[in-house]
Amino acid sequence: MSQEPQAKHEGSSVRTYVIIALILAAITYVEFALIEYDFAFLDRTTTLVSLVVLSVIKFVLVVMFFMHLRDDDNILTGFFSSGMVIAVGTLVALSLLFTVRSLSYAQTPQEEQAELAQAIGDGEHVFEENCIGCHQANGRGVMGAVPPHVGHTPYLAQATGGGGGRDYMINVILHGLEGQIVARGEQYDGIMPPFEELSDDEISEVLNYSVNAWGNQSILPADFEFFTPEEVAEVRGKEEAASSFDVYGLRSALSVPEGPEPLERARDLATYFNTPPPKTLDVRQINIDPGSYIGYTRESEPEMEDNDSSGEGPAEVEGEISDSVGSPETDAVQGIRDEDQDPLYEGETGTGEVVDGAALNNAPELPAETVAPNITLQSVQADMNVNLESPFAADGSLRQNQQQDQQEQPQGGQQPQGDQGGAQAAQSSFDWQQVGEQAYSNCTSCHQANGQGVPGAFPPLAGHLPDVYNTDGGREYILNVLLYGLQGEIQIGGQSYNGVMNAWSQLSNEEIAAVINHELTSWNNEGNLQNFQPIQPDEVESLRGQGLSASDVYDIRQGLNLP
Amino acid sequence: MTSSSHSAPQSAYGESEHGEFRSTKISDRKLLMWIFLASDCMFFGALIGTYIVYNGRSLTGPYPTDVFDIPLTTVSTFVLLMSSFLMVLALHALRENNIPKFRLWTLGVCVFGSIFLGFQVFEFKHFVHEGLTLQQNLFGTTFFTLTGTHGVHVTLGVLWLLSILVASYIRPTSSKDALSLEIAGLYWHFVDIVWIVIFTVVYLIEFL
Repeated sequence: MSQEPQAKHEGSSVRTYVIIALILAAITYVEFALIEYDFAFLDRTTTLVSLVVLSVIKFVLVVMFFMHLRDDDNILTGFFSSGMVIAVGTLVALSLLFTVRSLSYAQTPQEEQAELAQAIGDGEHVFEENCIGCHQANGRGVMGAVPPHVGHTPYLAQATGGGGGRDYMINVILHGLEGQIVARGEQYDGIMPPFEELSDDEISEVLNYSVNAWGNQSILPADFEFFTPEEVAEVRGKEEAASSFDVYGLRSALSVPEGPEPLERARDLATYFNTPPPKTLDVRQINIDPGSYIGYTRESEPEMEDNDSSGEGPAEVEGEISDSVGSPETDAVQGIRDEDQDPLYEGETGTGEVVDGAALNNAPELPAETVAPNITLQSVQADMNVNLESPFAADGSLRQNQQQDQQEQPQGGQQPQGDQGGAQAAQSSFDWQQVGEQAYSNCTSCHQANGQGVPGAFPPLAGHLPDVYNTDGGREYILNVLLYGLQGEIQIGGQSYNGVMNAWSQLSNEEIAAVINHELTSWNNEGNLQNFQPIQPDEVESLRGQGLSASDVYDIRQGLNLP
Repeated sequence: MTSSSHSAPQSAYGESEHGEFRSTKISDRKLLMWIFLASDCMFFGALIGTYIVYNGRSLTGPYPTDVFDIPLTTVSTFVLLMSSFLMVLALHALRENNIPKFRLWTLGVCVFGSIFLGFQVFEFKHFVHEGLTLQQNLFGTTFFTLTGTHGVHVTLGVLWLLSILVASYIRPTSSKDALSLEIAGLYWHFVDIVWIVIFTVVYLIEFL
């Protein structure tokens, strides 16, 4: 048998509910306002307490009225309260257990990091105002003169011996540094002025910036203690050094932990001077023997001024170039080739396109026998003489036997002319070699004396011109190029060239014909020609007057079936 | 041992209007719901405690101040509070045997609850878009576990109330079924007060 349950009353009135709901909404808005709007009279603790109190009020209102606990049996209150007490107790216990650390430490890791980030940001500012001129925005310094920060300062800061790396670094900023040092395996011999006028804060900030920037952060040990202004002040007060030489002495006592390898300077011309590039094989595998240059001898090599720049102060050095003349790089530009240096290395002389040296190494080799044994320079020369004779005889009269001379051309160029060619060569008064070579001096600025061209800009003639010549229509195309120029990006052996060649129609027919023959028979080109028939001046004449543009010639080229 | 008065009007459960009870003189089901809510208190207490303990200890971002949108969360809090208000109206209407009103307010609770869930989904998607996932950092883990669990509770509550609403069309519902609605209401109000705590501890405190 049951007793009637004690139901006090079934719920409150609607009006009560509405009032409670309005109070809840109002409290929510107040909480929102406490956070979103700044109230001068409320500090952090007061706001926190207010928020907690307001939340408790909301909590109690909902439990008491909406959940009706106020009017229900107390046993329900008892159950619920025990749950609440245990929950809150757990919460408090957890907080005390795990956050007591925050009572003894000044900051949470998040705050610490924020402060450090702020300091490093300020340090970047100091760096930009004082250090960038020498150490560069990328922290790489200047080859041979200004040591890098990247990959170096974190190790320097951990150096032991003497006064320690940290002291040394502070002294460097305070008093400067002078003398030859080694950083990241490379030598630097510059002068760093003192920066005594920087404040302790600024010095500590810029040092912290240096050990964090440009990826240095990743090589800092996890427990690295960052520089503090107090540390700087202490070093300043110790006066361990009075001049940059003294600081150099401090450095000598240091033992710097092993750092990363020397700076990668693939695009660094300065390194290019000092580091012989790997032996790469040009795709065309030209073995250029200076003797094969027509008219080229070592003695005729123009004198280069040896312009070593020596030990200029860091303030005068802008960028990464310390030498510019007398180097292999400029030698390549001048077309003078050292057998051990490949001027095509890394495409430095070009438009910046990098030639993949490794790929070049794997390029298929041309057959060793690139020179057909029966074609000699003399034989071709003999042919040339036959065809390039001036239309005027020595006595000024017009030659009548031009046609006959043409018919006597050898087919395929494989038949040795031998003595006949030599005799004819001796008889000719027209020295196409000289004419061609002299005319070619117009071309060396772009195509180079060795016919290698400039990667990315000017195509090579060595090794390539025969391919063009051998193609159907290539012969005529070559003439058009000389007469009207060429413009547009072309591809040769996987390398693209995007320069502009101006027309050379101002040259005479003989000059144009001679220069093309010169090109076709230089640099071992003659071995790759098929069905070689030297260019005739009247061929050149016949192609004049077409009114083509450089782009038109480009279109002609695109129409060719070039390999 | 049950004690039911057969002469008194019975609810769908065959109970008297005051429900089955033993010596507690309180409906068993209602008592059980309160006990469950007490346990749920401890459940959420543990989750909130974990959030508090790991607060500010994330080694990497995004951090709470990077992603929280207080005005938006205030609106969703308001929505949930009003849904509790509608809940008591629904119960009141059912006790008065005003079935259309009961259905209206119950539907209202479901709608408001769904709106709240919509806000949560939107917020979660925004956070994930900012790079805050469960695995990103401690904040992501503790926050999503806590509010995700709460969101699941809300979802279950909405489904529960929807089923009550649908049941009211299937079988005759009258004021004698008020106890069932009351128990569902208790659950719903509890979900609301948990959110009150979360809103303060997780969202507002961050911006002190």
